[in-house]
Amino acid sequence: MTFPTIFDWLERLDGLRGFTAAYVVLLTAVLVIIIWDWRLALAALAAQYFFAGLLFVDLLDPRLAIVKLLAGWFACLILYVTARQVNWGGHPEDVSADELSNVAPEKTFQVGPLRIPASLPLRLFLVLIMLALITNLFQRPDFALPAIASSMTYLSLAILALVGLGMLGLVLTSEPLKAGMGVLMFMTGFELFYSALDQSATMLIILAAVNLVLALVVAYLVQMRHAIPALVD
Amino acid sequence: MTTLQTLLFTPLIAALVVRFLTQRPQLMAAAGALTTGVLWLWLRTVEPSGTAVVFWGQPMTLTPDNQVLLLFLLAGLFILFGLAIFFPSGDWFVAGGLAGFALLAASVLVRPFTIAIALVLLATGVFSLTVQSGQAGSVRGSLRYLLATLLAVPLLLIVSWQLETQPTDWLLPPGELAALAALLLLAGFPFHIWLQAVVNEAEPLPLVLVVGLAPLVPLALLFEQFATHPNLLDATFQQLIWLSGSLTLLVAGILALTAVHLRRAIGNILLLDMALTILCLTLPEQVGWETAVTLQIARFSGLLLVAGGWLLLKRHSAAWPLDRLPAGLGRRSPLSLALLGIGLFSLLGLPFTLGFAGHWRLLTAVAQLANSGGIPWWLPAIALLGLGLGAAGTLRVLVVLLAKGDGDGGVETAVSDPLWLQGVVLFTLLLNGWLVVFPKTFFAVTAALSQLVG
Repeated sequence: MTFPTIFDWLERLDGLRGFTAAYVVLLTAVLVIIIWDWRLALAALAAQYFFAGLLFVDLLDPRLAIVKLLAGWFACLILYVTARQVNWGGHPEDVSADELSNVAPEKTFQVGPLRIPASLPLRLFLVLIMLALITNLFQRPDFALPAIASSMTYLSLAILALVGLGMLGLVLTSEPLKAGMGVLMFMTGFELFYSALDQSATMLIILAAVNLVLALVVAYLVQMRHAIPALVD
Repeated sequence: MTTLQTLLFTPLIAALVVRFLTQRPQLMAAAGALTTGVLWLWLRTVEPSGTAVVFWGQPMTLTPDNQVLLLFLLAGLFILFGLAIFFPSGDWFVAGGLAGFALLAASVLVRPFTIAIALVLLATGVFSLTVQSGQAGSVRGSLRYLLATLLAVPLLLIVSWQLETQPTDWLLPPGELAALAALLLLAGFPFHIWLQAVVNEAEPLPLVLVVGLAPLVPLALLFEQFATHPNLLDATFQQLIWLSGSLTLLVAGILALTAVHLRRAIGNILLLDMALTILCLTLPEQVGWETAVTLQIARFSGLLLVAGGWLLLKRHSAAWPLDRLPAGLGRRSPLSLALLGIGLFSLLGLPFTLGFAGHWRLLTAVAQLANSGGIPWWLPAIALLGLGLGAAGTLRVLVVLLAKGDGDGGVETAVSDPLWLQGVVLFTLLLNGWLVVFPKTFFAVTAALSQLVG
């Protein structure tokens, strides 16, 4: 039995490439911003890296494109471990309710069985505006991204979605983990664009290192934001 | 090759070692000071070859000019780590400073520009940990500082590609992108979105590191890029810098005058200095770089004085207020207040301070260009107005700190400065005075760094 190569995998995943991958990237970017549960948001981010990886294959040698995918998944792993350590943004397990009496709970409202954050309608509204802007820019030929071939316009859609929604994600919250996911989306969008301009291995390695350093910094900031003294003081 | 390996890997290894010493902050700072001190002594003896050495596939060159910049960075770090022995500044200050230096050193040595500026982004990631200063709950400053660089560096990478390939269709002209990136990186743009958060949350010494010392490298890289591609400094670029710079000067001046607490006052005075530095980008190349370097070195020394005064004043106040100025605190330690005041005046470039030379040079250059019609007539007027407002704001802060107030009566937090500390502060003030009266040493450093571009 032989283990399938990257090229075998790409052949099997052929149906998911192109516009399909771009739409999934767009969808996961929206999910990362509007979903309030960190577990689901991280899963969406990991899925986004997978489909962004399929888009990278159109610009880079598949053996280099997989570096992007692996760096992204490592970043997700770092954030996952951190999120678990801070109890997914909830109250620490070893602190009593009395000690957290001065922590204002997040405003929520009940919709059926779900308890939804009060900020969700605003988030949805801003995401819709951003989607309208992205669609508008994508359809205008005078805003076509340079160095992206006309046969690969789906890359422009993915780049605009990742950069636009990534920036929106990071300005919508002061929570380092959610803002960090926005930062990582922005970086993926930029890397996708930059891969069309420069395919050098050195830049690829440095940008992968930037992703990992960003994930580590975000993880550290999440730890400090949710440190017990920060919650109870 | 060995020289480069020593320069790049020694700080990284030292950073790893000092991270194991977090329980003993004084030892950690001493180890950092020792590493940078030894590296400084060693680098002084190295004869720069000036020939490119391929290191991990990239050409790196140690020239006499970039050697001076590295020596300055090491000297700055040595002073900061030395001060950190007495004023611990967070778990990551020494380790982050050392690792960040290694990345900045690689950025100074390596070419092409794209790799160098991407390494600056990596260094910023490490420095953002030092901004956090290990304080639970305080993350806004480091996050915003990181984001500003994260937005600026991609713009510069795109500019670099545009300049190299000269594509027929541009998303935006390179001048506009470069101006935006420069404003984000060097002038706290927009207004004070990241700078004030950093000043509010960082300990004084990490603040000196990220605002006083580290920006020298992106500043040098930008000027080098402008020297290589003078067409980048087109009319749009200049107009963007003039408009944003003057607006920042005005806003910073007004906010400095109306600051409600000390950190806000310091942040806005710093912003004034940064707005002036950004104007140097529109001066003729060599004059611009020399002025920018003079301003940057004066900012580092001014911030050191501010940090010293600030840290010493904090010893007299158990809870540092963030909603008002600590009235009367300066009465307990007049010498510390003098240190803080001279530092703030130096950042404003008032006469008889270290900052005067750079500010005077900039203002005269801007005035001359305005007379010849090279820049708008209102720019020097706004610069003077902003500095005037900043000076008034500083005087207001100092008067409140000296006035009789709540700090004067609170006996439970009162500690008197020991004699040796008063002696050290007095010596620092005298040293500063000596450098102001005999600025030969100061100018020797700026002249040496000026060779880097041009």
